[in-house]
Amino acid sequence: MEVEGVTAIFGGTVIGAVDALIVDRVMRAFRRTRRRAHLLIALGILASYLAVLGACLVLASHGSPSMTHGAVWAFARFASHVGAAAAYGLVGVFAAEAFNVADTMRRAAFAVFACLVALSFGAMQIEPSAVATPATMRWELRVPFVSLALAGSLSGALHAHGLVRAYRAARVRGRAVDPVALGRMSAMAAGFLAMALSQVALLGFAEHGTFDTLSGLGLVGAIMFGAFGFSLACVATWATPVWLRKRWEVR
Amino acid sequence: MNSAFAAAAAVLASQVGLTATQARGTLRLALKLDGIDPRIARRDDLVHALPHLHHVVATYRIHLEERQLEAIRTAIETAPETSEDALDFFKDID
Repeated sequence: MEVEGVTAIFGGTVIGAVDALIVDRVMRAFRRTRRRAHLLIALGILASYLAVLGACLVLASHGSPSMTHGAVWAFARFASHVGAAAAYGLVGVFAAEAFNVADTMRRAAFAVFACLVALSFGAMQIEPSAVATPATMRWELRVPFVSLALAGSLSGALHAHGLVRAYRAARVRGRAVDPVALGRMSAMAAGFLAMALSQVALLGFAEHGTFDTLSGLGLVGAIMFGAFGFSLACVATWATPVWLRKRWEVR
Repeated sequence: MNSAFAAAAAVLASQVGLTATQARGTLRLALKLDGIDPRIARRDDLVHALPHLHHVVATYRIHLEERQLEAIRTAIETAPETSEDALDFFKDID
């Protein structure tokens, strides 16, 4: 097997294990509290794993050109486009739900999610079959795709940071604020910023280009780093390690 | 917006003739003048911020009478304290 295939299988397995851990914790919290936001983030994580599977197949196809057509390639394109769009959109819908924003903003977040998914389906039809991911779509599609994705994650980040600041100020004034809950909110705020970084990196690739250049690999690294940051924020929130909990409690 | 805030805004609007949007904005400004972010305001915070309402409604050239302020206070105190606090979501995870 080629090195690309080995890397794809290893990466897909590790990310799958981490995602399974997070989804398990999220669903436990959902079964206990019946809060819709848990369900939304679980769906977002599953959608992101669909995108990861697509990316792994695209990576593996570098070593096996026979994979660049047929049903496997069609699935890789579908997973990369629709998985990424659904994951980015659902992150925004989750933020609107979890951070208790106004109903208008919740509806706007859902509209952004729907537009992203529609855009990804449109891109799959318009772009040549060699374009496997949103990262190398034509600019007329990629710029609105990234703008919509950023609207979801940045509005979530801004709202979360504002709330964290407000709760910290209220705690200074004497209000009882649960330090672990505040720490989790703060972690999610940082996670949304990390997600925004990975979305901005999508703009750096050449139109209809490939990933096998130095700058391309750097941008792939930025995307992976951002996604990893968001995953870490999810772990800190739903599977808070004891040492982190203690650290938040003594602050 | 929790139920205490909604109740206070509704009474403020009906008592002094503001629109619902103006009343909500007035309450938000009063809370900010008291150093509280409106997004995390609870019943106690609303009651504490009531004295600032005099200054804020004055911008609409409205004089707020003591009985009107008392009606708003009663509406806040009788409204239930809801769990619509954004922090509750992160508290309930365990």
